Amino acid sequence: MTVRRKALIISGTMLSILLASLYGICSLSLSTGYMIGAFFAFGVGFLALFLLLIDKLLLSGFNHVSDLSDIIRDIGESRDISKRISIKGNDELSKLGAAINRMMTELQASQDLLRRSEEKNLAMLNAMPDSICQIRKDGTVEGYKPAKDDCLPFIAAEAVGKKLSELMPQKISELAIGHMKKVLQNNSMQVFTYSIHRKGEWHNYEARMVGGSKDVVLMIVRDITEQKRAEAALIKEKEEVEKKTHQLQVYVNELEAFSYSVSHDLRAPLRSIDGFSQVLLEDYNDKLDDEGKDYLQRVRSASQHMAELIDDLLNLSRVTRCEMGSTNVDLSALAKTIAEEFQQKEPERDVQFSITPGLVVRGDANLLRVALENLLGNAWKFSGKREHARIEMGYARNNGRSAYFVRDNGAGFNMDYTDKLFGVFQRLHSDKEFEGTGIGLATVQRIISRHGGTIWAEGAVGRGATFYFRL
Amino acid sequence: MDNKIIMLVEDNPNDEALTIRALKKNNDMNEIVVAHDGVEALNYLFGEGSYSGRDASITPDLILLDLKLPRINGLEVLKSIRTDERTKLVPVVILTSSKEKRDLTECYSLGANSYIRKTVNFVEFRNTMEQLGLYWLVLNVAPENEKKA
Repeated sequence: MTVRRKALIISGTMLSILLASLYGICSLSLSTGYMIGAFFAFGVGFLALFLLLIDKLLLSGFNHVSDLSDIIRDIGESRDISKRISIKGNDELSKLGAAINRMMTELQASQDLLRRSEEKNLAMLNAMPDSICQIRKDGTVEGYKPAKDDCLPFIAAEAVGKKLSELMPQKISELAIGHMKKVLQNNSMQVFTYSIHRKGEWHNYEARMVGGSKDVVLMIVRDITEQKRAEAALIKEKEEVEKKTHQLQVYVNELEAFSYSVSHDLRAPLRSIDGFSQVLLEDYNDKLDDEGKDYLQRVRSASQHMAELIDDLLNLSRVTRCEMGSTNVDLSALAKTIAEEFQQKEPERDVQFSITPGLVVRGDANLLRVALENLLGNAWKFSGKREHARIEMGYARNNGRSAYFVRDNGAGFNMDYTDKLFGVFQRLHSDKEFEGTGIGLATVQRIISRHGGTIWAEGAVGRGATFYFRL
Repeated sequence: MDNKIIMLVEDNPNDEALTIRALKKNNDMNEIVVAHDGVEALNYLFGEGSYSGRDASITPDLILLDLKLPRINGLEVLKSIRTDERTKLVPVVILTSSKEKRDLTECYSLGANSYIRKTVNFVEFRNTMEQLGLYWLVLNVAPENEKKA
């Protein structure tokens, strides 16, 4: 029982006794025994009724109010909102108590929510690689969450309570304070970078400053040393690549100049050799015996062969260095045109072409034409000794792979030498059998590989050859 | 038929001899003028330098022009021929070893009438020259013929 309640009861009781005594004194003065007894009985009854009334009507009310104020004060002092008011009756105060209890429950729920959110925020904040400082207007660090790893934005580890001028080199603290003024003036975000020499190496930082509460700014600092290092490395690498590209370009230009010179200058003496041999054959025909004429013919055919070699080599280098286009190329139509050209050149030959229509690929039209010219040219050449030659082009599966193919029923080749097929100057036939430079298939292979594809061949001596390629 | 003037711009003496031989075999009557480099070619055409005093209004009926020439190269010669009123209509046939795409493109864009690649095989070359002479000097109608009168 509380002091106030006790006081109320005592004061109530004392008031009753006082009233009863006054009544008794008045009764005694009447000096009538009969009246004393009657009035005393009436007085006691009145007192009892009075006390009962006080207790029921007033004291119960006083108890509730004090309970309420006690528990509210208790909650206020302990800040424990899990406490509840015990509800006894159904009167107005009890309803008020219940309402307060409901309010407390809701308060508790929203406080829980707030706490969870705060925990989450704190966890996020701690997980951030940044240091976060609250800085007062006068440059004093008020709060500080350092970055997790060893990349503190200040010279000292302990920062709270210190001024920026104590934590950073003068120039940087001046820079930071300058930005802080701008933040406080315009409520704008300020971003700046700075470097600090710590533990024997330079650290680079990027600071973002935003307004916090009144006269306080938040400075979020990230160590960008690694980033800077990576950037520098990237720039250096880029420069090196550019340098190499430039060097390569120089080489390419040189190569082009060389090729140009080869195509121009190397052919000129060959023309003289062939031309003057022919002049000899014509002007000195009567002075030359058959052997002499034969030698001169050999000189001529050798010079012509060398001219072909030069042309093919130039083609090969052009195929490697030229820029690639990318369009839809109708291989079937291309093959048909090439076949017609061959037939026009040697109309006496009986060659049956079978070309699957609609073989369209994506690639460089010029290069693919060179590739097909070589493949079909080989098929044409090596089937030259067949009475009824047959050349096919299509799309089929071979060795588990789908590929385009060019097939002939010509001389074929020994599979033991497959690896030599695509080498430069590699020939599987003598010039006596079939003329050639040994550069054609090497050119084809380069074209196919420049398209990201592969080429392979199957054949047997006397039973034709098939060249498969994928693009 | 009038004798025609063929101008050959060629620095290689062997090529010169063989080309003249090929041209003569087809038609011995034509006059062949040889310039050994670009400067000499332009001097002849415009009556300057070693050819000062030559009547520049008399232009060749056909110019056979090599590309790789000392001093002024074939492309520059072609440019000068095409920009001068006196020579801009003269048929120019490029006669060269090169079959580089950029040479072809440049020659045609500078106004060459034809582009012939010199073959190593002399018999083929002579046949080409024969066809060339027949086409440009006989079949083809030149834009102006009155100067010969």
